[in-house]
Amino acid sequence: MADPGNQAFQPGSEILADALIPFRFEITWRSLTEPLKPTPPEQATSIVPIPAARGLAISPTSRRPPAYDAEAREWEMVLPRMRRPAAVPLKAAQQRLLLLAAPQFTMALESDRLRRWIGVAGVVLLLAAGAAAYQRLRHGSSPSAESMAVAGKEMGGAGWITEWASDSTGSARGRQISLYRPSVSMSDYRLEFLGRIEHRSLGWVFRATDSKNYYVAKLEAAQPAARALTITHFAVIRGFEGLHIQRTLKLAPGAAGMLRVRLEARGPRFTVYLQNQVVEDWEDDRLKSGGLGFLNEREERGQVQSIQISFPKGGAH
Amino acid sequence: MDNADEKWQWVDEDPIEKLLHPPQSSSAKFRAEGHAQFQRGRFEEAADAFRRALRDNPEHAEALAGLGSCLLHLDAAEEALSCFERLLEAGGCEAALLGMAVALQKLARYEEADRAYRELLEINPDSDEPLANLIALSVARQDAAAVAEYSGRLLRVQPRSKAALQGLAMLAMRNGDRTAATEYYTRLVEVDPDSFEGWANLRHAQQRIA
Repeated sequence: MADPGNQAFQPGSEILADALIPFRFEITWRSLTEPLKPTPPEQATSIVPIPAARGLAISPTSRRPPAYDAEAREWEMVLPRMRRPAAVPLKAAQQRLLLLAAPQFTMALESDRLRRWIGVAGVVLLLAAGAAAYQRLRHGSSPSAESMAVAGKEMGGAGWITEWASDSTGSARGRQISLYRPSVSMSDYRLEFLGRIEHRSLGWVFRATDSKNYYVAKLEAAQPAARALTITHFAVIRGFEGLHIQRTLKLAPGAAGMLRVRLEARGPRFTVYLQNQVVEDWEDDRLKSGGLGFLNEREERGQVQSIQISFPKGGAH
Repeated sequence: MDNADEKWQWVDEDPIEKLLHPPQSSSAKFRAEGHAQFQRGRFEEAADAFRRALRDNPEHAEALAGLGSCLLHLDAAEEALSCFERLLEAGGCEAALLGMAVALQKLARYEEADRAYRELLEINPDSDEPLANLIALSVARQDAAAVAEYSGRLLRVQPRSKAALQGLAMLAMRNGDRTAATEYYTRLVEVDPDSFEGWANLRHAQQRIA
């Protein structure tokens, strides 16, 4: 993976005249082909490294998705926790009550875009349930000022911001990102939603710091006849869209069904679950923090019916 | 979330098993063969396998990156360059840029290689491989200022970088600062105890100080 490279400054320079031995400077391209970093043994039940170019292939690290019971101890589920008995005292860090309003996708360029993401009834219901729980908490217990402030700030559906991607590829594709604003400064979280591919794909973004720096994952129904879905993920860093890493998933039947999607972001590791099964697991440490959201492109759109966002128990990072 | 309309059902009972060992198309088989041959250092065989993989899917990023890497090993820099240009068109930005930069450097097209490396550093300023290759490139161009800049940057990212220590030691000797050179040589042989040049030059510098 290395070239003997250049000799240090050429004969005739003072270095050679000084009788020093010139160094060889290697030219390397290891990062083109090195496998992805394996998961530390304590996190994986079975590690099966797949030799592949970095950023080009998946290195699944766990044969089984972690059990939900075990996860429940580690993650703070946002909405269900809001229904806990008011008498139970909660630490401020465990009381981040984020009531999700529906993202506003108000693209007026094409008429069919007005119908985009119309399936937000679930979110509205969740919002209503969350508001009720919030009221219950507010009147029935004494949560900390911090948690109250967090909850109150997001009431009223102001949690989403939408903007056009400004990287060249995203811009050319008419990519629009709707970001859940309270997550923008965070790094570790879980996004779970029910969605449907309305046309070609259902996509979401994470660790989005601005319109030029974000990670994208998409489910695409490119071959409905073959009953196949593909999952694709890639990074946009400083406006450069990186390699698309794609894997075909076999699901049946057609694209009319609802998809239960979950993304977990923890440090450099990202795991995507589909219908409660791990379908993608990779590491990428370029974007350390940034928000969660959804994306649409000119020829691609999805529909989301309910959303849950959770942060690691013990405080969001 | 519990009342999902579960129209999607998993075809496979164990999708993770399929994820680890997916049914392979002929293209996937050739790619797997290419990777296996590559790991064994059999670059011609690996290149042939990647070429066959590309017949089915001429824009497959993984196969293009694999083939390009093999060609660099085989000193077929012109062909590697064309391969990485195809990869860039296919969307493989960073891998393509690195491959192109290395191919251009091997072809002694230093200005273009320099530009490609700088683009990579724009994306990730702490990327060690472009920095190390830029040191080699700057040495080839006899650009002492650039050697100093990239060696310093690389050393901040990777304090045990052999390329950076070599670059800084070389510059220190060039500037007549044998004390600094001795320090860099000492660190170099700690990092790479088998460095013949490192030991010889350390001894040389120490003698000059004495």
